Amino acid sequence: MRALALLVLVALTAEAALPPPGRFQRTNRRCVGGRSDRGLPCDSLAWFEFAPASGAGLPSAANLCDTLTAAEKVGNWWCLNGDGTMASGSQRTLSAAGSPTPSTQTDTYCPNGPSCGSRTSIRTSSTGRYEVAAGVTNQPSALTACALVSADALATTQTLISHSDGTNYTFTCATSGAATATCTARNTTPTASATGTVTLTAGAVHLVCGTYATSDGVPRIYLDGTAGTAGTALSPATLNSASVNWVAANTSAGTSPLVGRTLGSFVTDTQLDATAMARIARAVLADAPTGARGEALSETRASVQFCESSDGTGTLLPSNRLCVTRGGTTAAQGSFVQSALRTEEIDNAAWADVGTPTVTANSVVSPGGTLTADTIDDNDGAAFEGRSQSVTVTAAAAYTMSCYAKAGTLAKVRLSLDGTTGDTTTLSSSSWTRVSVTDASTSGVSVSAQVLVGTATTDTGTVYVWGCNVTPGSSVRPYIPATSAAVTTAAEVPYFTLTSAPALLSHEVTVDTPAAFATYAYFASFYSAGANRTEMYVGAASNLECDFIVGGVAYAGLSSGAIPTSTKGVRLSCSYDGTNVVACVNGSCNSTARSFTQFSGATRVYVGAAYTTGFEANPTPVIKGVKADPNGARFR
Amino acid sequence: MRRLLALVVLAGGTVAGVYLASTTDAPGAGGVLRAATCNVRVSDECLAEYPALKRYETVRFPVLRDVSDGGLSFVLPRALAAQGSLARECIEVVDWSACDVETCAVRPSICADWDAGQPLTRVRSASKFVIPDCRGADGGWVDNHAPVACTQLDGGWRGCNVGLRAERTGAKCLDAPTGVVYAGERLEDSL
Repeated sequence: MRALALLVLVALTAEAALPPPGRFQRTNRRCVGGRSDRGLPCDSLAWFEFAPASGAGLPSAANLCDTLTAAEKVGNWWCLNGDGTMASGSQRTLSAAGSPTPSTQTDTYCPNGPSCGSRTSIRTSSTGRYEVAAGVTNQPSALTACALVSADALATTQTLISHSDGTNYTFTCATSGAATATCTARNTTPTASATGTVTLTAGAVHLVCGTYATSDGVPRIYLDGTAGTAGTALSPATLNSASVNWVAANTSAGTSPLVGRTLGSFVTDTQLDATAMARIARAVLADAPTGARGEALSETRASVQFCESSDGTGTLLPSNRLCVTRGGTTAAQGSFVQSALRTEEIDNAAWADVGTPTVTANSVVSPGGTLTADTIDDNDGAAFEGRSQSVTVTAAAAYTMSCYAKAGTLAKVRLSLDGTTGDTTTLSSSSWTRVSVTDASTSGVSVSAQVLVGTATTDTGTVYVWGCNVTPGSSVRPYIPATSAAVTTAAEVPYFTLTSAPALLSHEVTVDTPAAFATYAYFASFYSAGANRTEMYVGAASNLECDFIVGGVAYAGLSSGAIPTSTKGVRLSCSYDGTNVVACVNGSCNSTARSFTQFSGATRVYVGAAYTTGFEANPTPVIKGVKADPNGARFR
Repeated sequence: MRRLLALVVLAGGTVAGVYLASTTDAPGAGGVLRAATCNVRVSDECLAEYPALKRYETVRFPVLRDVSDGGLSFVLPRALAAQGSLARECIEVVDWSACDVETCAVRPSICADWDAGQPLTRVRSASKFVIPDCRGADGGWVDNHAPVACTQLDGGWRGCNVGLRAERTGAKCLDAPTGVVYAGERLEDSL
């Protein structure tokens, strides 16, 4: 009996030693800001947050050489950093060769994420390249070759990474024309080759990878971690045995150089799989921001867009990638036509001379990191000099012309659109300024868009110009590149996916507001189905309108005052306390009595957008952060 | 309000919209039959299905022109509206306000295709746009090609860029299937 009692006591003690989560083992504490932790981890995050101060969910772009795991460094692997140094442990050393030798270029590189860090990249010119010492021969049975690159233009064949001696090659990845890249393997004959293909975007940073293994003889290609069209199987599968070297951004014969920059490249003697390709791409491109708790972001936009960071530089984003920087994200853009041609080629014949300027093409690194910005030199002290283009617009409508400009020997520039001028007299010589002018009502369907050096006829000197746009409306829109034709943009729809959402009673959006608001421009929409959603948007009096829509019935509340314009960090909140819908602007709240039961199970959070297109904001607020919580008193 | 905004977006400033016809729609019921000539963008699926097509094309097809609700709308042919129709998924009109809309007296064969299974007719030469032939010897496009015989009416050279057919002259003008492309796409790939 005594032994049995002892056994029970031991058992009870053991049970008591087990970790929670019994309700009586839990103790509530106060988190930063005074909120009860409710027994949960004290991270201060709301149930949903996008772009919190901590940066949670916003990845920074990794250095390519840092993404390889130990298991992926096989055989004669090597990795070349963007500054020309080799990664520690590389089994091969690539050295600068050719003349002129490659140069390096330092840019802000921030496709997404809070850390727009400075990155050095290799800019290849003429025969310049990085290659291993001559005479290295190795024909692995499997390989992976990757290059993190941005091509200034894609009109010609440009080598990204190649296993070649200039005459014979084993494996090479190159641009293959205007908008594609291929990775090609050649077998022992060496007459047979097979090619995989992907579609590229000029000016965008891409990770192009090719893989090969003699086990199946199929050359594969990946663009930004997604498999492209694979080649056909080589037979025999054994690779060409000619003496070959690995070369970055060129061929070893100094032909077909990349006209652009390389932010890193590597080769390893193993065939990495699709999972590894995707992992490496996400790390170096940082193109998969999430909510603070990992909620997946989905973006639909079937056109490219320049994503500008707070320092004036930026990154050209391919389709379906939302512009997220450390400054937040712009509200969703609707479809619009950008009318200017040759936006990055001020020397092109689409632009005519005003006076007798001297234009030097591709003389300066652009805000996007490409060597595509032009210099305009005005040496006439008695007249304006610059370039002019006739653009097609809708008559009697407001249009805005914009250009990125930087001081050369002169810090002044004038834009003229349909005769309306806008002057800037304080251009920086170290950073880009986006200058603009708005024509309130166009005089016809064809108007003159001019960029002129100086703001007076007596001014002389040089300015650098890039990225000139003419777009509808009175405000500057995201920069859209164009070449031989005007371009239209696709309306974008960005949203985060939620799972098991409780009834969300409190919502907050922080925005940098524009100079004016478009009515019904959306800040956020929390969506379950068309009949159940909570919407935050600009009301008819430029105030905040909160619509709690449950079962198709709208329970609305309005802020008492207008949302301040041209103001940074404006806090907008919509909440329901069981009695009132409370709409607050910077803590100033207005309550409207309503009675309803908030829905649960929201599946999407649209950021800077409604649940459908047609309610995009222009002028465009910058969405600095979005929050939602089941606590109805959390955001006021 | 939502509907009105959607219409403005579709037409780029002109209040016009496009609605797919239901099976009850027919010529004369809710609109007047017309022949439209439009620049269109072809979907990825159709490019794969029909290799002869380019990303941008100029096509002619019957439409119902409807002003009954105070605005201007176009109703696409019944065959295009049918669920699962490949043609419906194929094309997207780049800019309805830039379409030529003609009477059936002018284009009777087009109007007769209202019920046809494939009511689209490819008419590149009817595009309002041309572009100089800046192809090099290897067939590739040369952006900074020397001037060719496709100039402004006053003889001015505007480079290898698209322009209105009415404002260009010369034997080296190519039919351009559109004057506006999606950002990131190239008109030259559709020549």
